[in-house]
Amino acid sequence: VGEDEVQLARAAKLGSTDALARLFDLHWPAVWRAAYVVTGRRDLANDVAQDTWLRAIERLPQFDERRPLVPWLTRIAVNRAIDVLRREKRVAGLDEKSDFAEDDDVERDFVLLEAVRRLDFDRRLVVVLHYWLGLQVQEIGELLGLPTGTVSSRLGRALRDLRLDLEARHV
Amino acid sequence: MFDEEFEQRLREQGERLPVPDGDATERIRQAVLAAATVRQHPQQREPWRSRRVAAFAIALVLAVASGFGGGYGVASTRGDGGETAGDTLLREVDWNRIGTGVTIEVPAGWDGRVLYRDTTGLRGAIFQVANFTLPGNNGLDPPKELPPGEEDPIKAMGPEHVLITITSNAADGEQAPQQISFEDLRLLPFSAPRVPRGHTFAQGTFCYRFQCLLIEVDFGGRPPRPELIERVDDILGSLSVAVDQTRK
Repeated sequence: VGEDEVQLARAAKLGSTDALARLFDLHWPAVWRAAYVVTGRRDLANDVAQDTWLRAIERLPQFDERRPLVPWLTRIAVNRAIDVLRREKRVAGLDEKSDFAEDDDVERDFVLLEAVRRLDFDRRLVVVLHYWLGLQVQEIGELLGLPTGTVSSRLGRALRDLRLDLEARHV
Repeated sequence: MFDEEFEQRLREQGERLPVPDGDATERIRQAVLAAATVRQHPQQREPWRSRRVAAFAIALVLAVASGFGGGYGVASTRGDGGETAGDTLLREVDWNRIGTGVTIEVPAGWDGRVLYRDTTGLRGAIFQVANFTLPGNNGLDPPKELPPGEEDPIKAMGPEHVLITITSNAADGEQAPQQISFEDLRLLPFSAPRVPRGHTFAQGTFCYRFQCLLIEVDFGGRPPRPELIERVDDILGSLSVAVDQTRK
């Protein structure tokens, strides 16, 4: 953790709105991204990311500022996103094609995105957490309250599902 | 190896995900910082009991176990330091048949009213207290429509206004703390449909044995004025529920 971030987090804990504003500017993209990859929707991601910051502010007094802030925020965002989706019994679909460029490369990746979207939610969750948020298997297990072996097997099955899905579409 | 290539494609796709919209980011940034201002404030406050405002108790009918023959009920009082709201309510219902009661204080100069959630009262009640005059009350009849040209004062709330709403018979909630304060409530995202434009809205559900209450606080401004938060804390701090010991 950089000295600046430690000092900012400490100042924010003591009530500095300026410090909080700087932390927000630094980490908003990461929080939003975490919310987006789980919900797959911009509008939900906005709400979840905002709620994440509100909750983080509430819990800031308990936060150990010597620890990195992003994993803590990511944990809040992911859990909140899962709560929202489960409460609404909504299976997240990734955003519309218009979010991506139209060149051939991206077109091919859009096909991959579609395949990810079609995954069962639990499998998609471990895929996006691992490949898009860069979380390790152990971190995902801690985040979701799952044994590491369960996360690994879900990842393996998800990859198999994706491969079969793309092969079936001759991609 | 197919899997390695495939994993690489996945990672690359992760790098091409959309980024947050700039306008939304700025709006949310302002909202978050406003909320931070709200959250900081209570730490600077004295304990509410030492600053207790001139207020008086209002008794509220909640969770009526047996019907009391009322209609769609409304009862009200004004916190002028005089008669109790309980007196007002007792004109309308048979106090002896009331199962569970909630007591809360209405500061001097504030307004309070009770609305029953259905015509039998079995679904519980909604109690409101505000620092402005609430819409007209009509005993146990449904509230009358506003005269032409008159604006609903709740819809017309400004930054200087706050409305506390307590709804009985909530489905579930966390165990109520010894004394509820504004900090116990959760701020809703400003983009939530429940939150009027420009307002700050917080809510929480708390259970007192069998009685769960949904507590909502709607500030007409963003961020809320610190003095209003203090008053809300005073009022929520006065909330008590007489638990019906006969219920199993």
